[in-house]
Amino acid sequence: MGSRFFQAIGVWPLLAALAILFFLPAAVIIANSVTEPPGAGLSNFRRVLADPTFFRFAMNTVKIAIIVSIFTGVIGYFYAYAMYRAGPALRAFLLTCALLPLWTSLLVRSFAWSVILRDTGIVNWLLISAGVVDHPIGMMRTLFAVTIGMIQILLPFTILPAYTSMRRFDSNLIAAARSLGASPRRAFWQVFFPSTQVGLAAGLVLVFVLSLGYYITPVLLGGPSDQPVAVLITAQITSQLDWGAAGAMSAIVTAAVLLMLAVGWNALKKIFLV
Amino acid sequence: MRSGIRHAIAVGASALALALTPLGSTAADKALVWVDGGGAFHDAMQEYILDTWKAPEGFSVVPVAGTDNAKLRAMVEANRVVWDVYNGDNTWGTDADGKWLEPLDYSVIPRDEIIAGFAGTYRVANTIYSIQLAYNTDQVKTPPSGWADFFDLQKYPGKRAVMDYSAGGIFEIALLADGVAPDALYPLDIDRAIAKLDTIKPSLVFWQSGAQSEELVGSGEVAMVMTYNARAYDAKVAQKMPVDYIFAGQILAASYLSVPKGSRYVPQAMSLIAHAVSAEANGMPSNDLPLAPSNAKAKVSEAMAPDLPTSHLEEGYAIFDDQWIAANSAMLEERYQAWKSASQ
Repeated sequence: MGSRFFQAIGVWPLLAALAILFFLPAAVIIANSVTEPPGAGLSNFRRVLADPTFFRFAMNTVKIAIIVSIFTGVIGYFYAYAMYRAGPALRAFLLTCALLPLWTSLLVRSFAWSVILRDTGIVNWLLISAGVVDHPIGMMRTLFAVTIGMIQILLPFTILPAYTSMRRFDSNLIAAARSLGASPRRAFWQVFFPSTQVGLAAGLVLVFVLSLGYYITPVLLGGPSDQPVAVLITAQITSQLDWGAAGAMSAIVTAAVLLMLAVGWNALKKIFLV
Repeated sequence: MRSGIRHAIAVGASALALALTPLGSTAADKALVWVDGGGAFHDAMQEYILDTWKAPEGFSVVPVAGTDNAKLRAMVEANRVVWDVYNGDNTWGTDADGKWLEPLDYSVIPRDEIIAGFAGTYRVANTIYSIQLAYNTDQVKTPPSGWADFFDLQKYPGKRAVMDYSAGGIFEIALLADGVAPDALYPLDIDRAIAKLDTIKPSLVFWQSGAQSEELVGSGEVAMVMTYNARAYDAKVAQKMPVDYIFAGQILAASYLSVPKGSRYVPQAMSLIAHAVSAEANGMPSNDLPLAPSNAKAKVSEAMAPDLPTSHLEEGYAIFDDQWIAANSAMLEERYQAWKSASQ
């Protein structure tokens, strides 16, 4: 009886929760872009788009998203391949390691990186104790720190789609390619990779989109020139009370996210909707 | 539709207020909601101000931690005000914010006892604090003498931590370090401040919360920090970190009490504010924290006196010009973000 009940109501409660807790507030914030101050029209968009500072923060955001996507794509794909080739026990271990970061608070993970990377942190302490360097290497508040922190946090989003596509791969095809004389390397690149690259693409889209909205990690680990648009939006809302400009910036970021999702829709559909 | 999120915020806040209502209060109790920044500051306010207030019959005070100017504004605009007394920082409550606040009732609040400059139409100061220079005693052996030393990387090597906020004093300390007289700070010469800040920009670390400022200087990640005097005191005395601080060149600021427009209990809120700034209660928080009273007649803790900003005025100080800052906040923010994000 219970399962029939849940079948009957289906995903509607979830959708309702999403609508109330996410779509409605997001719509209100974006609506601010044309209603705040009253009669604003498109003036907020003109103001924001003409602002060189907004442009700089937007470029920082895109730059970080691209770098993080490339690294998580490559590492995630080969991590998934290792899972695919591993025996059951090792695979379970690798899966747990991949998922572990998802179960830890984003704030805690970002702060943990700052403890590891800062001048008085673990890495510099080890390097100085071992006599490798005399003075601490400045790793905190750099693009390097932001990148490494975000890669670690976002890796599961490339590993899982890539692994999904590999599980669906018919391994007989590799045997066929080998029997027809292909080297292992050639069988991988000409048979396996083309069949599984859709998983890689889906992961790249997810990571890129998620990177566009990152806030805590760049704030904690990045330097002044690595700060994303989210920081500027927060400052507009909390210290300037300029909800119109914040709404316009949010609308622009949302449009970029929707555009990316549209571009990657085919890949996402194949991995998550089949 | 547009009031949807504001309604949601207000409902959430009132649910929180209800959840925080002390056990034992009856349903007939009317809850006067007091909002402050929480932490040790709130503990002092609770013990010496809220608990010592003789609430009108049927009223009790419910504290909420987390001041948020944007949230206050949202409540007022949605006409769902669940906060009654708001203990904001110095950037909030000038005449520029008048449309979101009730004018204070100086027939009950003792305006003539408040130190000149700290009582306005919409706000009255309850504590006076300052932005000061604190340093890590392992890295800095000779105490610095002012902000000029903060900018002197030759004399005092090491990183510097600054508040990540355009109106928090970063431009002010640069100008003071560059030799501008404290009483000639405003209007701020932003170009000159930025030129000075650029001389140490690669060594700057930006902190977002007071706790972070303590951690940065206490761990030795930075040699010096500009921070709230209560944070510097906390790092040295409560956390026992290798930290000390100087008062020379401090910038005085105050935390202010105000009443959101549309509060349900305006007269009671005024009465609580009158108590908070009264000669009897106003000096009491100095028993625990280095916060100076705003009431000239209030007595301070003798043990704390050496750590109060107001005990060191002869060493030189500046005062935030909140009206000028409020009138120029958009410009300050724009210049700040442009400067900060520019790569060198």
